[in-house]
Amino acid sequence: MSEPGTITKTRQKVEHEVPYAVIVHDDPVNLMMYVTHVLMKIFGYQEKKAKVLMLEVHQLGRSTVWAGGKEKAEFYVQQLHAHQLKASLEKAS
Amino acid sequence: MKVVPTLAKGLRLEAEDASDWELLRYIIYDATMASRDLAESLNCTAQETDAADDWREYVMPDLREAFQEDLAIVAAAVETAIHHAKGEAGPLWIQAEQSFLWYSALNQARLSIEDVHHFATVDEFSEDWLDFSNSSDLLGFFRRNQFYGVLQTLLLEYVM
Repeated sequence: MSEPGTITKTRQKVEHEVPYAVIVHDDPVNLMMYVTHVLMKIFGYQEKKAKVLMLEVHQLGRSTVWAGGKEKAEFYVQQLHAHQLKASLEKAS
Repeated sequence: MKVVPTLAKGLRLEAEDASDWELLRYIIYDATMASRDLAESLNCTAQETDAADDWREYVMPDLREAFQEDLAIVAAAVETAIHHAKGEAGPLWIQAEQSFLWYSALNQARLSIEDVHHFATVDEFSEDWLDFSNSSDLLGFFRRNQFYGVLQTLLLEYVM
């Protein structure tokens, strides 16, 4: 209990979970139509958004397709690998 | 070979002779000829971390098993169809629910061919463009690679 006349300050430290980015990498074999299909299937994206991300992968060599908690990001990378797409997990900047 | 979409949202492959069945048998041969580990090659995450060790230990074995299972199911489907057709003209059905594993097997074959022959990365307008004149084997790989890609496109367009 505080003494009378003293002010007690409580400092609460909240640690936010570091966001992780799921990156899809370009490869010369996977069909563009397939990459779009997989992004729609795994992430539930609309075709338009999936196509934009697919084109980013194709033209820039990589695209961040999702960002969020580590556990879910790991799950998504595993799903992308199961669909034979090159993918990685990085701490989001 | 003819490939026809079915009313049940699948594909029917109509082999016209023994050479068409051989072509389908090549899917497994091509998918397994490269020495690289597909599960390993898909992982682009930094390899020196503890997380990468866990990935190698827990995730990759499951991926390898799934890829091999896809090939085993496709191999069995091809052999069963050949048996029913007695090696002559006959059909092979790809049901909608099996479309992904067929796509996977074809993709493994194309990835494997690409590892060895790099067809996708050769500039077809350069002087280094593939010379098939002295290698019927190379032409065979090239044509099968094209066929697998067409079959994948049909699966995507009509089935998946």
